[in-house]
Amino acid sequence: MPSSTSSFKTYELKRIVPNHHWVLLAMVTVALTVALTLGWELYCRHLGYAPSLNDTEDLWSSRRTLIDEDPNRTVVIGASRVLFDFNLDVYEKAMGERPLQLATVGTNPGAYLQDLADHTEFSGTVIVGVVPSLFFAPGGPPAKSPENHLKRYRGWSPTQRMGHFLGMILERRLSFINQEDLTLKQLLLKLKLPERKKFKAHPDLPPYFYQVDEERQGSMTDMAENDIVLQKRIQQIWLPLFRPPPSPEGKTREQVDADRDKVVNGILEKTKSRVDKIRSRGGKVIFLRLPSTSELRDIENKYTPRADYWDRILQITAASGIHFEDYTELSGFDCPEWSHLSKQDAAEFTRRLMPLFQDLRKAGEM
Amino acid sequence: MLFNSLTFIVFFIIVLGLHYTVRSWRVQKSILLAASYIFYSAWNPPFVILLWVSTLVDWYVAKALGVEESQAKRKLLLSISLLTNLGLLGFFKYGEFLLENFVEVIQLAGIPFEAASPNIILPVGISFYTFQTLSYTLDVYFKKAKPCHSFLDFALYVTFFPQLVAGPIVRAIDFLPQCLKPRRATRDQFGWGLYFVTLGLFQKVVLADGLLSSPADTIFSHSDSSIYFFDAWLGLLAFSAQIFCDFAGYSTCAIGVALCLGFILPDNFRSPYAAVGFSDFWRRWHISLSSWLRDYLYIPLGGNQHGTLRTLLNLMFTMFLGGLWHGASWTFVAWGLLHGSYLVVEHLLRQNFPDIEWVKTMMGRFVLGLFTFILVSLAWVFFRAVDFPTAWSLLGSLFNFTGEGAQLLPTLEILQVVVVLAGLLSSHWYLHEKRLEHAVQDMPGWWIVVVWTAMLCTLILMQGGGNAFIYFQF
Repeated sequence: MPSSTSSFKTYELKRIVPNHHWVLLAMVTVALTVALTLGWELYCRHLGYAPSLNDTEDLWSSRRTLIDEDPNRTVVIGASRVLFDFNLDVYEKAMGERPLQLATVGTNPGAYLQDLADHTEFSGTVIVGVVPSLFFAPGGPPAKSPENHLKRYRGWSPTQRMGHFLGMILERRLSFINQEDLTLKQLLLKLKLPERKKFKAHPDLPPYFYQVDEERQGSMTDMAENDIVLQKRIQQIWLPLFRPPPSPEGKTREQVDADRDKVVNGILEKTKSRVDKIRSRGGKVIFLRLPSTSELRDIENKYTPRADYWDRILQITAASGIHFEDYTELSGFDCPEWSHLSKQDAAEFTRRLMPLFQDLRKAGEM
Repeated sequence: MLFNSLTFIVFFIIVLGLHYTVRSWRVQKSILLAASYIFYSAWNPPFVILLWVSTLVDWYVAKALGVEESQAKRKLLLSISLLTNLGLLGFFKYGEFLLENFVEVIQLAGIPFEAASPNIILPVGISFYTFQTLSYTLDVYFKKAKPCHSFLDFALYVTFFPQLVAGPIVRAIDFLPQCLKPRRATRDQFGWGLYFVTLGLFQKVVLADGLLSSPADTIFSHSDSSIYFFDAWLGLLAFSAQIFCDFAGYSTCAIGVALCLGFILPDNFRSPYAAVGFSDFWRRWHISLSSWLRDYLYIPLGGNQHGTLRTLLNLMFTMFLGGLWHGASWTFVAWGLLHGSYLVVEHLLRQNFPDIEWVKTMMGRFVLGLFTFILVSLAWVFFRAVDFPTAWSLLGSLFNFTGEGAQLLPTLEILQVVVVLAGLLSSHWYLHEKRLEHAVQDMPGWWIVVVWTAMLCTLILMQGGGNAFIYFQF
């Protein structure tokens, strides 16, 4: 706040144009930028990247709005396993309707279930993919991600819709438009600079290994399906992510267990109330446990044993559930990176899942 | 509509196409007005009604002020404009804040009372266009400007899309004369305008969002324990740089977009982090707001014409309202009052020690400039923190030199902050006494191409997610 009272206006309204041939400079700049961008595009394709849609909050919102148009639709929510492993084409062929895919990677689906429970007209079927460590995550990124998606959908402005539409046109044609792996931020992260001794780094997240289409049908990229080195890298990234964090300082094992039980019970209660609300309008809820393999499955069995988590969900909500280990036809699939099925296996898995869904339909469970 | 969105690129190309193919100046202005309403309603269409209300009220009030001579009636007319504009601003921006504080006061008095949350949505840019329209009516009231004779010109002045939602806050005496004759940018103006747009987007997308937001967010969202002082300072300085790049980026884009259409908007920033002292800072930071506050608040209050005590009170009150303008929260008030205190101390020092020689030396100015930057950055703590406990906790960490506290920033982010901050402060010092235009004029053409290409390529590589500008919330 200038304290002088000498003049009514301090700024001078003029704009000097520096003495250069600006049209020529602009043309050379555009030509260089286009050439460099094309070079980068070719290099990305050479590395194995292909054009694919970014799995953005806008893309999610574009699917979520469809529930408002048809509140009887079947909706899939959960985390990446149900996003990759549940094939919409196969489901449509067997069940005669196309579900909406609203699962998002690394998320606790509680907020999505709440959103459907709060929808005054929704009376469709909800298929909930359960990854116990995420389903029972008390907060942090697994809880924040669905909140952000829902926030985007609730305030989805005309300009954001238009931006999404235009963005998809470019994403379908250019492989370097890849927010998972090829942004400047991601490229800088690949430098892997040494950290200070006392810096507590967050566990690594897996590198780019999945893609979605316009309907958000997720699948592993060809690179991830074929590159064994990449698969092994992702496997090693899963292990710390699926282990519980170290106990906070000053807390005994018993206190930590008691805290965890409190969180689990709270989530179970909320899940029951959400399921009941959906059912009260004639909707159905089916829980689905999809395959994981090898060391990752061992860790899940150790830290999120079925009896304490999966079984309790079904027991408390009295909803139907399908666990891949309960059916021989669903067992025995190999997950290349221990957590998700390949494209081909995902289609086959869904095909084998369909008779079970048809039985549920006959029983009036969906 | 955000400048950093694909939607805006398409919108701008269409507007430029129409602007330069239509011959009639009146039709051109009508197209710009229609485009401005589309630009604004792309966020939330119903809020365009508020713009219409503000436009109509100030148009008719100013028209009446132009012919009315009775002082009482002139005051009544001015009150209508003030009540309408400030009433809308008060309801949408401060409604919840006032209600919360009312409830707290009632509860402190021992009366059990709970109010339902009104969930008022803040219309984008309401603080900016309210101040803009008010300046017009106040200028006409104080007879510094005559009422506009063309409703189309006035509506375009209120709504002109490049600066509608986040400034610069343009005065009617600067904008309306530009509406009198057809505006077409020359080829060089057009190219220079595009350079400005690129520079503004680079500041916003690459620097503010890409390189600075993460370290700033990490430090300001940490509330579990104390932060290692080095990380706390870097996070704070990252925010200092982020808020500048974000807001100056918007202003730079706005100036460039307007220039491409043949209009001239005033500078809003002039190397503020090279300011020597706080009155110098406010001559360089958000110039259109600080000059607005000076001309329509500080000077009418008496400015510095009624003795030292009154001057200091005027400064504090002006900065108190300046803080509140930024947001409906006591932390913004604290930020404003802190800046008010800085100005008061500076005023007293200047008054009592007018002839200290070392202050005028190069080294003296550099040291004072650095000191100003650090104190300005410390004030940002209250601006950015969500509440006072977070602000106090961060201030505690900033001055805890025992080596304790969590190390929160990874090496990459430390490097990002150091590199961007060094570049930013160097550029501010380099441009301390000269304009960007002069600096660019001295650059060889090939160097401009290299810089421009580098900015465009990093913008493409950044693949910005269309984050809103920080100042939209104000």
